[in-house]
Parts: sequence; C-alpha cells; structure tokens
Amino acid sequence: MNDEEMEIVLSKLFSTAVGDPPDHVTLSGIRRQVVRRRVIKCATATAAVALAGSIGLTISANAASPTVTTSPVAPSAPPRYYAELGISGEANHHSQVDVIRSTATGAITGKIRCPWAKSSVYDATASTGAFFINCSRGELNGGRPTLDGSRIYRFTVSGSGHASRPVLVPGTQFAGGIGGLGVSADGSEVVVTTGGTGSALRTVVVVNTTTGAHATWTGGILPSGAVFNPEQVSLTGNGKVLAAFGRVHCPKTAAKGTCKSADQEMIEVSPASKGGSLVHGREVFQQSWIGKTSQMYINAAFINASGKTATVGVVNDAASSGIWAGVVSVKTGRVIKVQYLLTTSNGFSYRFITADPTGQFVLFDAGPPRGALVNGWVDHGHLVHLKPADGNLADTEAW
Amino acid sequence: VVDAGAEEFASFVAAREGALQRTAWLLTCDWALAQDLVQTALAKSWPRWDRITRRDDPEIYVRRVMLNTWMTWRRRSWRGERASEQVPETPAPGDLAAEVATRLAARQLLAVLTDRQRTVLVLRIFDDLSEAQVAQVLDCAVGTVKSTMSQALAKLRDQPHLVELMEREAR
Repeated sequence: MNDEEMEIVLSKLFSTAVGDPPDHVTLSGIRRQVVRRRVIKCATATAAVALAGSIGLTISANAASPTVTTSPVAPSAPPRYYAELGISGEANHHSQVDVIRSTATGAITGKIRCPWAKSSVYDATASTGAFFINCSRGELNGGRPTLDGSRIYRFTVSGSGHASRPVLVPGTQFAGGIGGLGVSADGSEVVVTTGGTGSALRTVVVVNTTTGAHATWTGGILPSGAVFNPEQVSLTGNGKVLAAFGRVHCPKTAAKGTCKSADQEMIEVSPASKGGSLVHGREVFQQSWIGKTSQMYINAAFINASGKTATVGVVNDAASSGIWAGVVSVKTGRVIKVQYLLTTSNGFSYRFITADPTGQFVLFDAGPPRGALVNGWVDHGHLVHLKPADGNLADTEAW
Repeated sequence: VVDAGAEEFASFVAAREGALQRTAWLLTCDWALAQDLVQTALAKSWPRWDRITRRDDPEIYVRRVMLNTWMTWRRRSWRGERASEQVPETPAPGDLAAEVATRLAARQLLAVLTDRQRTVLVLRIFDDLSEAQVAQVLDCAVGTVKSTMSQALAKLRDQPHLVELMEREAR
C-alpha cells in the first residue's frame, strides 16, 4: 500500500470513527470560561506584583501574544457568505429571490440586483473575494422565453454581508443567452459557453476581466470519432488551464466501428487565453472512469483552483443508491474521495452541486424525487444545513 | 465580558465547533475531553478575536491554540483513571459493534504515534489541510510537516495488525 492509498484509507477510517459530537460547544460555556480565566489571571497578577515588589524587581504587565504569520494559503473555514438564486416559498406568490446569506446563521445580509434594465440574474459563481453573475434579458415569443442578450457583472460582499453594486466585466456583452459560467479563483478570467442551438456545438469563450480580450474554444470530433460538445466550463486558480466538461456522441453519419462514444468527458487545455480546438486538449476523465455508464450520470464537473483535482456531482448512481459529490484526480482521472453521499434509493431530484474556488467546500442541493431536498455544505462527510431549508427553493448557490 | 467582534465570534463558533470537536476527538479519543479542549481554545481566542481576524485566518489561529493546549495537557496529564459521575459508555443507535470496531481501529492507529505525528496526520488527512496550512498551525517549516507525515506513515506501516485493519477498511 503506497502513501496515497494509505492516506485515502486513513481518511475513510477517521471519518467513520469520529461520527458526530454528542454535545455542542456553546457561547455561554465559552463566556463562563473566559470570566473564570480572567478572575484567575487577575489573582495571579496581583500575587506576582506583590512578590516582585518584595524583592525589588519590576515586571511587565504586557501579556505575550502568540506569533502570528500570514501566508497565501487556501482557507481552512468555509466562506462566511454565499449567494443564493432561488424563489420565495410563499404559496401563490412565488417570486425570484437573489440574495446573500450568512453561512453561519442563514440570515439574508444583502440582495443581488442586475443593474442592466429588464434583465434578471440567471447564474452566479465566485472567485476568491468576488461574486460574478450572469444577467440576461429576453422576451416571451409564443409563450417561450428567448434571451436576446447577456452580460456578466462582478460585485463584492462586505464584512457584514452587504453586496456592492455590480460592475460590468469588460468584454462580457453577449448576444443571446450564455451558459456554463466559470471564473478563475484570482478573478482574472471568466469563461462561458455560447450558442449551441439546434445541432450546432457550443462555443467556449474565455474573457480577460481586465482587458476584455476574448479567446474562443470550439468542440469538434475527437480522435475516437465521437463529437465533443462542451457544457460546463471551469478554470484553475490563475486562469491558465481551462477544463470543459460535455457530452460525447457518435455522429449519425459515422460508419459502424469508426466511432466510440464516451458519453461524457472532461478535457483540459492550456493556456486558456490562447483559444483553439478543445479536441486537441488532454482528456481528464470519461464517464466510465467514474462509474458504470448505464447506472449513473455526471451532472456537475469542474476543475479546482489547484488544477490537480476536479469536483464531480454524480446522480442516480445504482452502485451507491444515490447522489454523491466527489474529488477526481486530474492526473489519473480516478475518484480520490467521495465527499458526501446522499442515499435516495429509487430516483432522485437534483438542483446543484458546486464548490468554492479551492474545491474544499462543496455546496449540495439534491434529494429524493418527491418532497423536500437537502441544501447544505459538506464538512468532512457531514452535511451542514443551509437556508433555505427546503432545497427546492434554491436554483443555485455560489461562494 | 468581551464585546468587540462578539457577533463574528458567535458565527464562527456556530459554524466551526462541530469540525473542531471532531479534530479534537482524534487527538484525545474522548468526546468529553474534546469538548473541553475546543471550549478552552475558543475561550483563549475570544479576548483577542478582533486582532486575530485582522491578522490571520481565525480557524488557523484557533486550531493552533487548541493543539498547543492539548500538548500542554498531555505533558501535565495524569494517565490514571478519570472520575466520572456517569457510566462513560452509553447505548448508541445503529450497528454498535461495527462503530466500536472502527473507533477502536482508529484509536489503535493513533496510539502508536507521537503527539506531533498524530497531530500532523489528523490535520493533513482528516482536516484536509495543505502542508503549508499544517506548518502554519504548528508554527514550523513545511519540510518538518512533510518529514513528520512520512515518519507517521512509516510507523503505521510497521504495525502488521494495523495494516491488516486498514486493508479491511479499504475493502
């Protein structure tokens, strides 16, 4: 057993062994202890001064503070606030609710509004320190909505949870709708998919958020003969590597034996700002590497900031009877860790599985085919519930 | 007692006390001690909360306080029986035998390690902290974290019955 395998087994063993704490540590308990510590400290200080006086010494009353260093490392706690795009739960009065909520309390601390007239928030994602939203507007044509334009805006959230006024990201005014919104952790690049109506393949557009410069990537025919059509797009922390996850299918015109379809696949290309054809990129994983293709489907897949791992959301997995979020090695394409498994047995209902830029803190909203869905973030295999309590009311969340 | 940053501190406690208790359990193998350890670490951190949040990642700071406190307790602790007004083992729901076996396996694994090795292993593997973060928590060099981790894994590998346990867990 090598070190990596050993670490995986140990992680599993520790998670299983620990379980849930029987009691909570409460603020009142901490407060009592703080008071007790202060009383003891005062008594000790008085005694020390008396002793020092008696032997003619002086002492400093300054308590030494621990050495504190700061370095640019990944966060060890989840983000304090998250963006929720959802609907109100009031009967017969459903309306769009786009808000910032506190992770700890679920309280709404800010509201998200599109500054572009007549547009609505369609999607949200986050870099380290900023949120990015896709504001689209459209019209109803024969009862069906048609989007005639989309723009990406950026905003920040203050320490008390207020959202700043969104600012248009240069180079992000698109005709029609966009999908698959992603952003690098440093906020230097955003990526979207455009087009894809009818039989046309989607185009991936990477935009430099400072200059507005575009790089365009296209799908196409893979060496296996199958067609790759990108759906979800993501970037590594510095925006250098682009990962495109999409469907793979054999064209109807392919002769028998000349095409092998992987169903779903992730491809990475670098540098993302160059543009070109995605089919010349490196294959990160195929659906069959994650599970039996007849028994499961990958609903979410995005590369993490480090570029070493990707997060996947798998649904309807017959092998595990449920929905799970996990980490896949970008190097080997194999599942390293299942972060959270929700057993739904027969069928499922899915809203979203997303994560912070580092991929450490997964947001999970899914459940059984009927009834309430769970909405929360994954903490060492445990789900910490978020608001809204009924996941049906949230369309997506980002942090 | 402490008013500055009280709201922020309360949010931190609500969000992170569970995770801190789990880490503490892996260090102490005792829920009561784990709870005491977390409460003590938070009580030590609260009076400095404003300064901590300005200068550092608060969780890194609290974890550092927690680990230093635990090391101090370990040095002082009397390793004999502990007085308790309740029977420590209480009935638990679910597959008790399997849970106890897993918990014992984890305890056996951790027991063969030194305090330092156990700390590094728990922070790296259970808390999923990077080597740089572990170094920050323990206030040591990244190289020290790597070598301690390597020594811990080598020590575990030398325990034949423990390797067997891990292989069973892997299946």
